[in-house]
Amino acid sequence: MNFNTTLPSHYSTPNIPEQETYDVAVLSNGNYTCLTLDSIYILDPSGNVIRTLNFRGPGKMFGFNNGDFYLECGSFRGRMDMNGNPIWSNPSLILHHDTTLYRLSGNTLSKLDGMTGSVISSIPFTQTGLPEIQMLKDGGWCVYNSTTINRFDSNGVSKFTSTISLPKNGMNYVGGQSDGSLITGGTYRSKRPIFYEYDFSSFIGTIDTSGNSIIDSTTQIWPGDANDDGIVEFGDVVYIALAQGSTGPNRVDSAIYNYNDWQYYGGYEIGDIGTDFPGSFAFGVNHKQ
Amino acid sequence: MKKISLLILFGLSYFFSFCQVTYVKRITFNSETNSYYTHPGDSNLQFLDVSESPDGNTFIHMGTIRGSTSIYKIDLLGNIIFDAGGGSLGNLNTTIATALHATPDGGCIYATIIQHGRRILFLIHSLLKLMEVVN
Repeated sequence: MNFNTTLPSHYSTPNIPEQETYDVAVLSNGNYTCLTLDSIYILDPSGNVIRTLNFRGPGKMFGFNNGDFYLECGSFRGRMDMNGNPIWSNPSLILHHDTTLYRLSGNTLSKLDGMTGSVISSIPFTQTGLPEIQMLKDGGWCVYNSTTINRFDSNGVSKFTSTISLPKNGMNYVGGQSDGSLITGGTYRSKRPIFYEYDFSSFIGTIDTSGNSIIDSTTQIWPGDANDDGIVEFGDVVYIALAQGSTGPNRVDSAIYNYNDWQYYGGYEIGDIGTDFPGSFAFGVNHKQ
Repeated sequence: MKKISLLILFGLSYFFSFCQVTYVKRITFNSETNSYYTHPGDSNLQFLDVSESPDGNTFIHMGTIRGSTSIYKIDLLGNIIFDAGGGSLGNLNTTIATALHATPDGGCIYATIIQHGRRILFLIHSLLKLMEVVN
Protein backbone atom coordinates (compact mmCIF):
# COMPACT_ATOMS: atom_id res chain seq x y z
CA MET A 1 0.00 0.00 0.00
CA ASN A 2 1.28 3.45 -0.88
CA PHE A 3 0.93 6.35 1.49
CA ASN A 4 2.20 9.85 1.99
CA THR A 5 1.92 10.80 5.63
CA THR A 6 2.73 14.23 7.01
CA LEU A 7 4.01 13.86 10.53
CA PRO A 8 3.03 16.28 13.33
CA SER A 9 5.14 19.43 13.48
CA HIS A 10 7.50 20.28 16.28
CA TYR A 11 7.74 23.85 17.66
CA SER A 12 11.10 24.63 19.22
CA THR A 13 10.42 28.30 18.29
CA PRO A 14 6.83 29.59 18.67
CA ASN A 15 4.86 29.72 15.42
CA ILE A 16 7.64 28.10 13.37
CA PRO A 17 6.76 24.50 12.65
CA GLU A 18 9.61 22.13 11.98
CA GLN A 19 10.28 18.44 11.86
CA GLU A 20 13.12 16.16 10.88
CA THR A 21 13.35 12.42 10.32
CA TYR A 22 16.65 10.78 11.10
CA ASP A 23 15.78 7.18 10.32
CA VAL A 24 12.94 4.85 9.41
CA ALA A 25 12.58 1.17 10.32
CA VAL A 26 10.38 -1.49 8.77
CA LEU A 27 8.74 -3.65 11.46
CA SER A 28 7.78 -7.28 11.02
CA ASN A 29 4.04 -6.77 11.53
CA GLY A 30 3.84 -4.40 8.55
CA ASN A 31 4.16 -1.30 10.70
CA TYR A 32 6.83 1.34 10.30
CA THR A 33 8.62 3.40 12.89
CA CYS A 34 10.56 6.60 12.44
CA LEU A 35 12.90 8.55 14.67
CA THR A 36 12.28 12.27 14.41
CA LEU A 37 13.22 15.56 16.01
CA ASP A 38 10.62 15.28 18.76
CA SER A 39 9.44 11.64 19.01
CA ILE A 40 9.44 8.12 17.68
CA TYR A 41 6.31 7.64 15.62
CA ILE A 42 4.90 4.19 14.89
CA LEU A 43 2.73 3.96 11.77
CA ASP A 44 0.41 1.21 10.65
CA PRO A 45 0.70 -0.30 7.13
CA SER A 46 -1.59 2.46 5.81
CA GLY A 47 0.64 5.21 7.16
CA ASN A 48 -1.54 6.25 10.11
CA VAL A 49 0.30 7.25 13.28
CA ILE A 50 -0.80 4.74 15.90
CA ARG A 51 1.68 5.39 18.69
CA THR A 52 4.20 7.97 19.82
CA LEU A 53 7.21 7.20 22.00
CA ASN A 54 9.16 9.76 23.94
CA PHE A 55 12.58 9.48 22.27
CA ARG A 56 14.24 12.14 20.14
CA GLY A 57 16.72 12.05 17.30
CA PRO A 58 19.25 12.40 15.88
CA GLY A 59 20.05 8.73 15.76
CA LYS A 60 19.30 5.58 13.84
CA MET A 61 17.06 2.54 14.11
CA PHE A 62 16.08 -0.72 12.43
CA GLY A 63 13.44 -3.37 13.06
CA PHE A 64 13.76 -6.91 14.43
CA ASN A 65 11.61 -9.83 13.35
CA ASN A 66 9.33 -9.78 16.41
CA GLY A 67 8.38 -6.11 16.17
CA ASP A 68 11.10 -4.84 18.51
CA PHE A 69 13.56 -2.32 17.15
CA TYR A 70 17.18 -1.34 17.63
CA LEU A 71 17.61 2.30 18.57
CA GLU A 72 20.54 4.66 18.83
CA CYS A 73 19.66 8.09 20.15
CA GLY A 74 21.12 10.26 22.86
CA SER A 75 23.10 8.00 25.14
CA PHE A 76 21.00 4.90 24.41
CA ARG A 77 22.18 2.10 22.12
CA GLY A 78 20.17 -1.07 22.31
CA ARG A 79 16.95 -2.93 21.75
CA MET A 80 13.47 -1.62 22.54
CA ASP A 81 10.10 -3.31 22.44
CA MET A 82 7.17 -1.71 20.63
CA ASN A 83 6.10 0.07 23.81
CA GLY A 84 9.44 1.78 24.23
CA ASN A 85 10.73 -0.46 27.04
CA PRO A 86 14.50 -1.12 26.86
CA ILE A 87 15.41 -4.82 26.52
CA TRP A 88 19.18 -4.35 26.53
CA SER A 89 21.68 -1.60 25.89
CA ASN A 90 25.38 -1.45 25.09
CA PRO A 91 27.52 1.71 25.13
CA SER A 92 30.05 0.43 22.53
CA LEU A 93 29.99 1.12 18.81
CA ILE A 94 27.33 -1.17 17.33
CA LEU A 95 27.54 -2.17 13.69
CA HIS A 96 24.98 -4.22 11.83
CA HIS A 97 23.92 -5.83 8.59
CA ASP A 98 20.17 -6.21 8.50
CA THR A 99 19.37 -7.51 12.01
CA THR A 100 22.78 -9.13 12.66
CA LEU A 101 24.56 -7.04 15.25
CA TYR A 102 28.25 -6.58 15.97
CA ARG A 103 30.08 -4.66 18.67
CA LEU A 104 33.37 -3.00 17.81
CA SER A 105 35.51 -2.40 20.85
CA GLY A 106 39.17 -1.55 20.26
CA ASN A 107 40.58 -4.16 17.91
CA THR A 108 37.89 -6.73 18.64
CA LEU A 109 34.73 -7.29 16.63
CA SER A 110 32.11 -9.30 18.50
CA LYS A 111 28.95 -10.78 17.07
CA LEU A 112 26.02 -10.13 19.41
CA ASP A 113 22.91 -12.10 20.22
CA GLY A 114 20.20 -9.71 19.04
CA MET A 115 17.74 -10.91 21.72
CA THR A 116 20.00 -10.40 24.74
CA GLY A 117 22.86 -8.21 23.51
CA SER A 118 25.39 -10.73 24.82
CA VAL A 119 28.53 -11.69 22.87
CA ILE A 120 28.32 -14.85 20.73
CA SER A 121 31.82 -14.81 19.24
CA SER A 122 34.76 -12.45 18.74
CA ILE A 123 37.46 -12.01 16.14
CA PRO A 124 40.31 -9.49 15.76
CA PHE A 125 39.39 -6.39 13.79
CA THR A 126 42.26 -5.12 11.68
CA GLN A 127 42.43 -1.35 11.88
CA THR A 128 43.48 -0.19 8.41
CA GLY A 129 43.09 3.53 8.93
CA LEU A 130 40.11 3.66 6.57
CA PRO A 131 37.37 5.49 8.46
CA GLU A 132 34.10 4.05 7.14
CA ILE A 133 32.89 0.54 8.00
CA GLN A 134 30.14 -1.39 6.25
CA MET A 135 29.09 -4.82 7.56
CA LEU A 136 28.13 -7.29 4.83
CA LYS A 137 25.74 -10.17 4.33
CA ASP A 138 28.38 -12.94 4.65
CA GLY A 139 29.53 -11.70 8.06
CA GLY A 140 32.52 -9.94 6.53
CA TRP A 141 32.91 -6.22 6.19
CA CYS A 142 34.54 -3.54 4.12
CA VAL A 143 36.33 -0.42 5.25
CA TYR A 144 36.76 2.48 2.89
CA ASN A 145 37.62 6.09 2.36
CA SER A 146 37.12 8.33 -0.67
CA THR A 147 39.46 6.30 -2.92
CA THR A 148 40.12 2.88 -1.39
CA ILE A 149 38.00 -0.12 -0.40
CA ASN A 150 39.40 -2.97 1.68
CA ARG A 151 37.15 -6.03 2.03
CA PHE A 152 37.48 -8.62 4.80
CA ASP A 153 35.86 -12.02 5.18
CA SER A 154 33.99 -13.16 8.29
CA ASN A 155 37.28 -14.33 9.88
CA GLY A 156 38.87 -10.91 9.51
CA VAL A 157 41.12 -11.97 6.63
CA SER A 158 41.63 -9.31 3.96
CA LYS A 159 40.19 -10.48 0.62
CA PHE A 160 41.13 -7.54 -1.56
CA THR A 161 41.95 -3.87 -1.71
CA SER A 162 40.58 -1.82 -4.57
CA THR A 163 41.63 1.71 -5.48
CA ILE A 164 39.09 3.69 -7.47
CA SER A 165 39.97 6.98 -9.10
CA LEU A 166 36.89 7.51 -11.29
CA PRO A 167 34.74 9.48 -8.80
CA LYS A 168 35.85 13.08 -9.26
CA ASN A 169 34.89 13.96 -5.70
CA GLY A 170 35.69 10.55 -4.23
CA MET A 171 33.41 7.80 -2.95
CA ASN A 172 31.33 8.63 0.05
CA TYR A 173 29.36 5.40 0.44
CA VAL A 174 29.83 1.71 -0.32
CA GLY A 175 26.98 -0.76 0.09
CA GLY A 176 26.37 -4.48 -0.28
CA GLN A 177 24.00 -6.19 -2.72
CA SER A 178 22.04 -9.42 -2.43
CA ASP A 179 24.66 -11.43 -4.37
CA GLY A 180 27.46 -10.27 -2.06
CA SER A 181 28.92 -7.74 -4.48
CA LEU A 182 29.73 -4.20 -3.42
CA ILE A 183 28.17 -1.18 -5.08
CA THR A 184 29.37 2.40 -5.06
CA GLY A 185 29.15 5.45 -7.26
CA GLY A 186 29.93 9.10 -7.65
CA THR A 187 30.48 11.92 -10.10
CA TYR A 188 32.43 12.24 -13.32
CA ARG A 189 32.77 15.29 -15.50
CA SER A 190 30.52 14.86 -18.49
CA LYS A 191 31.13 18.16 -20.22
CA ARG A 192 34.21 20.23 -20.81
CA PRO A 193 34.29 23.78 -19.50
CA ILE A 194 32.98 25.83 -22.40
CA PHE A 195 32.25 29.47 -21.59
CA TYR A 196 32.79 28.62 -17.93
CA GLU A 197 30.14 25.94 -18.00
CA TYR A 198 30.80 22.55 -16.50
CA ASP A 199 28.52 19.59 -16.20
CA PHE A 200 28.70 16.36 -14.31
CA SER A 201 27.11 12.94 -14.44
CA SER A 202 26.63 10.25 -11.87
CA PHE A 203 27.70 6.64 -12.23
CA ILE A 204 27.37 3.41 -10.31
CA GLY A 205 29.69 0.42 -10.36
CA THR A 206 30.13 -2.92 -8.64
CA ILE A 207 32.95 -5.07 -7.28
CA ASP A 208 32.37 -8.81 -6.94
CA THR A 209 33.19 -10.85 -3.85
CA SER A 210 36.65 -11.71 -5.21
CA GLY A 211 37.55 -8.10 -5.89
CA ASN A 212 37.01 -8.29 -9.65
CA SER A 213 35.75 -5.05 -11.09
CA ILE A 214 36.06 -2.79 -14.07
CA ILE A 215 35.76 0.37 -11.97
CA ASP A 216 39.45 0.42 -11.14
CA SER A 217 40.37 0.40 -14.85
CA THR A 218 37.65 2.86 -15.87
CA THR A 219 38.44 6.54 -16.27
CA GLN A 220 37.05 9.73 -17.71
CA ILE A 221 37.70 10.05 -21.44
CA TRP A 222 36.88 12.60 -24.13
CA PRO A 223 35.76 10.99 -27.40
CA GLY A 224 38.09 11.94 -30.23
CA ASP A 225 40.92 12.98 -27.92
CA ALA A 226 42.95 9.90 -28.84
CA ASN A 227 46.24 11.08 -27.31
CA ASP A 228 44.55 12.34 -24.12
CA ASP A 229 46.08 15.81 -24.26
CA GLY A 230 42.78 17.55 -23.55
CA ILE A 231 42.24 18.82 -27.10
CA VAL A 232 40.43 17.18 -29.99
CA GLU A 233 42.57 18.19 -32.98
CA PHE A 234 43.86 16.96 -36.31
CA GLY A 235 46.81 15.22 -34.61
CA ASP A 236 44.40 12.83 -32.92
CA VAL A 237 43.69 11.30 -36.32
CA VAL A 238 47.25 9.89 -36.34
CA TYR A 239 46.67 8.15 -33.02
CA ILE A 240 43.28 6.88 -34.12
CA ALA A 241 45.03 5.38 -37.18
CA LEU A 242 47.76 3.83 -35.01
CA ALA A 243 45.16 2.20 -32.77
CA GLN A 244 43.14 0.74 -35.64
CA GLY A 245 42.12 -2.85 -34.86
CA SER A 246 42.59 -2.44 -31.11
CA THR A 247 39.45 -3.63 -29.36
CA GLY A 248 38.14 -3.66 -25.83
CA PRO A 249 35.04 -3.25 -23.71
CA ASN A 250 32.18 -1.22 -25.17
CA ARG A 251 31.37 2.07 -23.57
CA VAL A 252 28.07 1.06 -22.04
CA ASP A 253 25.56 3.90 -21.98
CA SER A 254 27.95 6.12 -23.90
CA ALA A 255 26.59 9.56 -24.59
CA ILE A 256 27.91 9.21 -28.13
CA TYR A 257 25.18 6.70 -28.88
CA ASN A 258 22.48 8.77 -27.25
CA TYR A 259 21.43 11.21 -29.94
CA ASN A 260 19.55 13.49 -27.56
CA ASP A 261 22.55 13.93 -25.27
CA TRP A 262 24.87 14.36 -28.22
CA GLN A 263 22.63 16.96 -29.83
CA TYR A 264 22.07 18.81 -26.56
CA TYR A 265 25.74 19.22 -25.93
CA GLY A 266 26.66 20.23 -29.45
CA GLY A 267 28.16 16.89 -30.33
CA TYR A 268 31.80 17.65 -29.60
CA GLU A 269 32.34 18.48 -25.97
CA ILE A 270 30.68 15.69 -24.05
CA GLY A 271 32.62 13.21 -21.94
CA ASP A 272 32.37 9.46 -21.46
CA ILE A 273 33.76 6.85 -19.15
CA GLY A 274 35.76 4.06 -20.70
CA THR A 275 37.32 0.81 -19.46
CA ASP A 276 40.92 0.04 -20.42
CA PHE A 277 41.66 -1.79 -23.68
CA PRO A 278 44.47 -4.36 -23.64
CA GLY A 279 46.62 -2.11 -25.85
CA SER A 280 48.33 1.20 -25.11
CA PHE A 281 50.46 3.70 -27.02
CA ALA A 282 54.20 3.73 -26.30
CA PHE A 283 53.79 6.90 -24.22
CA GLY A 284 51.35 5.16 -21.90
CA VAL A 285 47.92 6.40 -23.01
CA ASN A 286 45.44 3.56 -23.36
CA HIS A 287 43.81 2.79 -26.71
CA LYS A 288 40.34 3.20 -25.17
CA GLN A 289 40.61 6.95 -25.77
CA MET B 1 27.65 -41.13 -19.16
CA LYS B 2 24.28 -39.82 -18.03
CA LYS B 3 25.61 -39.35 -14.51
CA ILE B 4 28.66 -37.47 -15.79
CA SER B 5 26.43 -35.21 -17.90
CA LEU B 6 24.22 -34.51 -14.91
CA LEU B 7 27.28 -33.81 -12.79
CA ILE B 8 28.62 -31.34 -15.38
CA LEU B 9 25.19 -29.71 -15.64
CA PHE B 10 24.96 -29.40 -11.87
CA GLY B 11 28.49 -27.98 -11.73
CA LEU B 12 27.73 -25.37 -14.38
CA SER B 13 24.45 -24.44 -12.70
CA TYR B 14 26.24 -24.07 -9.35
CA PHE B 15 28.96 -21.93 -10.92
CA PHE B 16 26.58 -19.61 -12.73
CA SER B 17 24.30 -19.29 -9.71
CA PHE B 18 27.20 -17.56 -7.94
CA CYS B 19 28.47 -15.69 -11.00
CA GLN B 20 28.54 -11.98 -10.38
CA VAL B 21 28.55 -9.43 -13.16
CA THR B 22 30.47 -6.26 -12.48
CA TYR B 23 29.77 -3.08 -14.35
CA VAL B 24 30.18 0.67 -14.46
CA LYS B 25 27.16 2.62 -15.68
CA ARG B 26 26.18 6.19 -16.14
CA ILE B 27 23.01 6.83 -14.18
CA THR B 28 22.08 10.39 -14.95
CA PHE B 29 23.29 13.79 -15.97
CA ASN B 30 23.34 16.47 -13.34
CA SER B 31 20.19 18.52 -13.65
CA GLU B 32 21.78 21.55 -12.01
CA THR B 33 23.87 22.86 -14.90
CA ASN B 34 25.70 26.18 -14.91
CA SER B 35 25.96 26.28 -11.12
CA TYR B 36 29.58 25.15 -10.79
CA TYR B 37 30.67 28.53 -9.44
CA THR B 38 27.55 29.58 -7.56
CA HIS B 39 26.98 26.20 -5.89
CA PRO B 40 30.03 23.95 -6.34
CA GLY B 41 28.31 21.26 -4.31
CA ASP B 42 25.84 20.78 -7.14
CA SER B 43 28.60 19.21 -9.20
CA ASN B 44 29.09 16.56 -6.54
CA LEU B 45 26.62 13.79 -7.28
CA GLN B 46 27.07 11.59 -4.26
CA PHE B 47 26.20 7.97 -3.76
CA LEU B 48 24.10 8.53 -0.65
CA ASP B 49 22.51 5.26 0.40
CA VAL B 50 21.84 1.64 -0.50
CA SER B 51 19.11 -0.72 0.66
CA GLU B 52 18.80 -4.35 -0.38
CA SER B 53 15.31 -5.32 -1.48
CA PRO B 54 14.06 -8.77 -0.37
CA ASP B 55 13.51 -9.64 -4.05
CA GLY B 56 17.28 -9.48 -4.68
CA ASN B 57 17.33 -6.06 -6.30
CA THR B 58 18.82 -2.91 -4.82
CA PHE B 59 17.56 0.57 -4.01
CA ILE B 60 20.13 3.32 -4.44
CA HIS B 61 19.93 7.00 -3.57
CA MET B 62 22.08 9.45 -5.52
CA GLY B 63 22.18 13.19 -5.60
CA THR B 64 23.69 16.47 -4.56
CA ILE B 65 24.19 17.97 -1.14
CA ARG B 66 21.58 20.70 -1.69
CA GLY B 67 18.90 18.12 -2.26
CA SER B 68 18.45 17.27 -5.91
CA THR B 69 18.41 13.49 -5.52
CA SER B 70 16.99 10.36 -7.13
CA ILE B 71 16.06 6.99 -5.69
CA TYR B 72 16.25 4.10 -8.15
CA LYS B 73 15.49 0.44 -7.91
CA ILE B 74 18.10 -1.42 -9.94
CA ASP B 75 18.73 -5.08 -10.70
CA LEU B 76 22.07 -6.84 -10.24
CA LEU B 77 23.13 -5.81 -13.76
CA GLY B 78 22.60 -2.14 -12.96
CA ASN B 79 19.44 -1.79 -15.03
CA ILE B 80 16.97 0.70 -13.60
CA ILE B 81 13.72 -1.07 -12.76
CA PHE B 82 11.94 2.06 -11.66
CA ASP B 83 12.56 5.57 -10.41
CA ALA B 84 11.14 6.00 -6.93
CA GLY B 85 11.36 9.78 -6.68
CA GLY B 86 13.71 11.54 -4.29
CA GLY B 87 14.60 15.11 -3.45
CA SER B 88 14.17 18.17 -5.62
CA LEU B 89 15.63 21.63 -5.74
CA GLY B 90 13.46 24.59 -6.65
CA ASN B 91 13.56 28.34 -6.27
CA LEU B 92 10.94 28.35 -3.54
CA ASN B 93 10.76 24.79 -2.27
CA THR B 94 13.46 22.25 -1.64
CA THR B 95 12.60 18.65 -0.88
CA ILE B 96 15.27 16.61 0.85
CA ALA B 97 14.88 12.83 0.87
CA THR B 98 16.41 10.76 3.68
CA ALA B 99 16.25 7.42 5.48
CA LEU B 100 15.74 5.08 2.51
CA HIS B 101 14.69 1.52 3.35
CA ALA B 102 13.45 -1.31 1.16
CA THR B 103 10.14 -2.82 2.25
CA PRO B 104 9.09 -6.52 2.13
CA ASP B 105 6.66 -5.91 -0.77
CA GLY B 106 9.45 -4.88 -3.16
CA GLY B 107 8.89 -1.18 -2.62
CA CYS B 108 10.65 1.31 -0.44
CA ILE B 109 9.98 3.86 2.24
CA TYR B 110 11.76 7.14 2.73
CA ALA B 111 11.22 10.45 4.44
CA THR B 112 11.14 13.87 2.83
CA ILE B 113 11.54 17.30 4.33
CA ILE B 114 10.06 20.16 2.34
CA GLN B 115 11.76 23.46 3.06
CA HIS B 116 9.75 26.51 2.04
CA GLY B 117 11.34 29.79 1.11
CA ARG B 118 14.84 30.72 0.10
CA ARG B 119 15.72 30.59 3.76
CA ILE B 120 14.29 27.84 5.88
CA LEU B 121 11.11 29.45 7.13
CA PHE B 122 9.31 26.30 8.04
CA LEU B 123 9.45 22.65 7.25
CA ILE B 124 6.79 20.22 6.25
CA HIS B 125 7.72 16.67 6.84
CA SER B 126 6.43 13.63 5.04
CA LEU B 127 6.93 9.92 5.09
CA LEU B 128 6.47 8.36 1.69
CA LYS B 129 5.90 4.74 0.88
CA LEU B 130 6.26 3.59 -2.69
CA MET B 131 5.52 0.17 -4.09
CA GLU B 132 7.03 -1.26 -7.21
CA VAL B 133 5.46 -0.04 -10.42
CA VAL B 134 4.89 -2.94 -12.81
CA ASN B 135 4.44 -1.97 -16.44
